[in-house]
This record gives sequence, C-alpha cells and structure tokens, in this order.
Amino acid sequence: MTKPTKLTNNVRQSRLLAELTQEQLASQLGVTRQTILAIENGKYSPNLELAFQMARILDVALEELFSLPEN
Amino acid sequence: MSFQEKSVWISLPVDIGLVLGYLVWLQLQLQTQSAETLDYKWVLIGFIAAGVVLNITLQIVLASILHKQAKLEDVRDREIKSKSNSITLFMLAVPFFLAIGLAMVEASYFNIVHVLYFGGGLAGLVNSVSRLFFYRRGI
Repeated sequence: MTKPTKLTNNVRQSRLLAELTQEQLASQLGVTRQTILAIENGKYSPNLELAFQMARILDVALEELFSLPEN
Repeated sequence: MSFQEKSVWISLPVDIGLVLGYLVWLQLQLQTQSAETLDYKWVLIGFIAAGVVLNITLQIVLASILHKQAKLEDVRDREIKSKSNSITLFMLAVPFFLAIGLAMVEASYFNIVHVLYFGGGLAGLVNSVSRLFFYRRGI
C-alpha cells in the first residue's frame, strides 16, 4: 500500500522517549488509538491543532515531530 | 479497528442487501408481469424501512457491546466522513439529474422512482466503501 501523506514523522520515537503508550497519548489528545497508529504509519497527517497538541504533550518542537522532505 | 470503522463494516451488508434484495425481487416480478401493472410501492417502502430499522438496531447493538469506544468520534473520523460525503454528493447528483431528465420527457413514475432508489442505494454503498478505503489506505 502506498503512503498517502508526504509528511514524515518521529511520533513513535518521541512517544517511546516520553514513555507513553499509543493508548495514553490518544487519551491525552482526545483521539482514538487507531488515529495515533495511522499517524505513526504515515497514513494520516494530523491537522495543525492536533500536531501542536501532540508536540506539547511529547515535549518536542513541532519541526522535530513532523517534517516535509525536500523531494 | 476504531468504532466508527466497525460501524461502517456493520452497515455495509445492510446497504448491499437493500440494493440487491430489491433488485432480485424486482427481476422476479418483471418476469411474470409488466412494470405498468406491478405494485411495487409497499415493497419498496418495506425495503427502505427495513434498512433504516436494521441499521439503527445494529448500531445500537454495536454501541452497547463497545460502549467505551462508541463515545469517541475523533478528528480523523470526521475528516474521513467529510471526504466520503463529498464523493457521495457527487454520486447522488447522477440519479438526481437523471430523474429530472426522465420527468422532462414524461417517463413513467416507475422509472423515475427506481432511478432515484438505485441511485441513492449505490451512493450509500459508495459512501461506505470510500470510508473503508480511507480507513484502510489512509487520508
């Protein structure tokens, strides 16, 4: 299956560093665990609000969490 | 699999049954009588009512089984729903304009009703399938 989003992300690494499970992160963000899974697998690009909330909870800068490759 | 995706999977057989079930009944009836003499109205209403009741019942059953998940519809669910609804709206335009065209050429009510019913049914199916596609492939 092709990746529908061009964004790459470090959500999984940042979440593991923050010692959070997908369920815990989802609960703090008010989304389902499946949404976290879809973001980590590059199947869903969160909107800005969710991305900022995620960066705040994981205590990383937004550009460290998400990036858009040059090509 | 999220609750919203499960709920689409559950309503999909009902949507298919509504279109196929009525189509089979109609084909069987049209083998023995003409469209002009066929009394289809109550059967059609029955199919629509059964579909609505069955869908609501299944959703209630699913929500009672998965009551914790059922409360949450998140931003991804809403985006998928919105994207699928746009596709469905486009699909609905086809039977809508076809029905207007048929009415303009004074086609029979039978034809107009069935264009609308099958068009609506297919649009419902497209809605469910596109939602499942976006859940599986991503958006």
